[in-house]
Amino acid sequence: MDTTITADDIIRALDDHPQWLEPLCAHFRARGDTEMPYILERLAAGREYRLAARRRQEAGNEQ
Amino acid sequence: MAALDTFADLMQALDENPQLGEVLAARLLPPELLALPQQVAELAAGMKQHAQANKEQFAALDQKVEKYHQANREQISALDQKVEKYQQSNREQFAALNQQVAANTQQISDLDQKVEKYQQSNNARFDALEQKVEEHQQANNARFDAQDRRMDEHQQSNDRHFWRIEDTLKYLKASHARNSALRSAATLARRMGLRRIRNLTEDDLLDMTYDADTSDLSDNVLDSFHLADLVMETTDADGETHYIAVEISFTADERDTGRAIRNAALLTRFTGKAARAAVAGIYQDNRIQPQIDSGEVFWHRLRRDELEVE
Repeated sequence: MDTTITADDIIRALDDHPQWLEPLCAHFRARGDTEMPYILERLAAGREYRLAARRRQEAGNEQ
Repeated sequence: MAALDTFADLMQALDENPQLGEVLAARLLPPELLALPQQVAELAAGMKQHAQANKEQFAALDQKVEKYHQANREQISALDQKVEKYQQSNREQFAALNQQVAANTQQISDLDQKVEKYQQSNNARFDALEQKVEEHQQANNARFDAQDRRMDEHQQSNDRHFWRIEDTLKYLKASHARNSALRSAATLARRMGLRRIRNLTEDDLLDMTYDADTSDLSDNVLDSFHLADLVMETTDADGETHYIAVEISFTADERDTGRAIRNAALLTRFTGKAARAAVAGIYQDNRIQPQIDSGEVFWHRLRRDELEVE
C-alpha cells in the first residue's frame, strides 16, 4: 500500500470531514502559521463544488 | 491513496509534509469560480421569477388572444351571415335577370322575324316600284328624246328665221343709216370745214374712171369705188375743190375706214384734186379710234333721232 500523502488525500479528508477544518486551522494558528489556515479555508470553500463533481463522476461510472 | 481516517492523521500528515502547503495552494479554486454556484442559484431564482412573470403575461396574452378570437369569430360569423344573405339576394336577382334576359331574347327574336318579314315584303314592293320607275323612266326618256328632237328642229328653224331677219335688218339698218347720212351730208362737209357743192352719182364715178388707167386695180376695187356710199364735191374757203369719200354703216369698223381711205386716194388719183376720207354711223368700233385721232379719217356720228321713221 502506498503511504505517500498527497494533496488529493488532504482535500479528500477535509471534504469528508468538514468539522475538522476549524480545529485544524486553530492548530496552525497556535504555532503562528497563518498561511496554512488561509489555504485550508480557501480549500474548504470549494468543497461543494468538488462534491458535485465527484457525484457526477460516480454517476457516470455507474452507467 | 493513503487513508486519513482521523483528525490526528490529517494533522500529522500536514505537520510532517510542510511542502503540501504549496501544492494545496496551487489547487485553490479562483474566487470567481467559487462564486459561480451562488451566481447560478441567483440566476436560477431570477429565471424562475421571469418564468413566472412570463407565464402570467402569456396567460394574460392568451386571454386577450382568446377574447380577440372570440370577437373575430363573432364578426366572421356575422359577415358569413351577411355574405350568405347577399349571395341569396344575388342569386334571386340573377335568376330574375336571367328570366328578363330570356324574355328579351325571345322578344328580339320575334322582332327579328317581324323585321325580316317586313323587309322581304318591302323588298318585293321596292323591286316592283323600281321596275315601274324604270319603265316610266324609259317611257319619259323616249318622250324627252322626241321632245328634244322637236325642240332642236324648232331651234334650227328659229335660228334660220332669226338669221334671215338679222340679215334683212343688217341691210335695213345700213340703208337707213345711209339715207340719214345722205340727208346730213352738207352738215358732215361743214363739220370738216368744207362746203358741199353736190353729191356725185354712180354715173359720175363711172365717168371719172372711164378714160383713166385702172389696169392696176381689180374689178372688185373698181366696183367698190363706183358703188361708194357717198362721194361729195366740196370747196374750201379759198374756193379750191375737195372731194370727200364717205363710208356709212350702222356701226363703223375698220372695213369702212379702209374703203373710205382707199376711195379718197382714188379720187385724188382720178381728178388730181384733194380728197379726204370720212365714216358715218351710229356706233364706232373702238379699233378705228387711232385713225380718227390721227386725222386720217373723219368721224361723223349720226344722231339716233335722225334714224327714226317719221
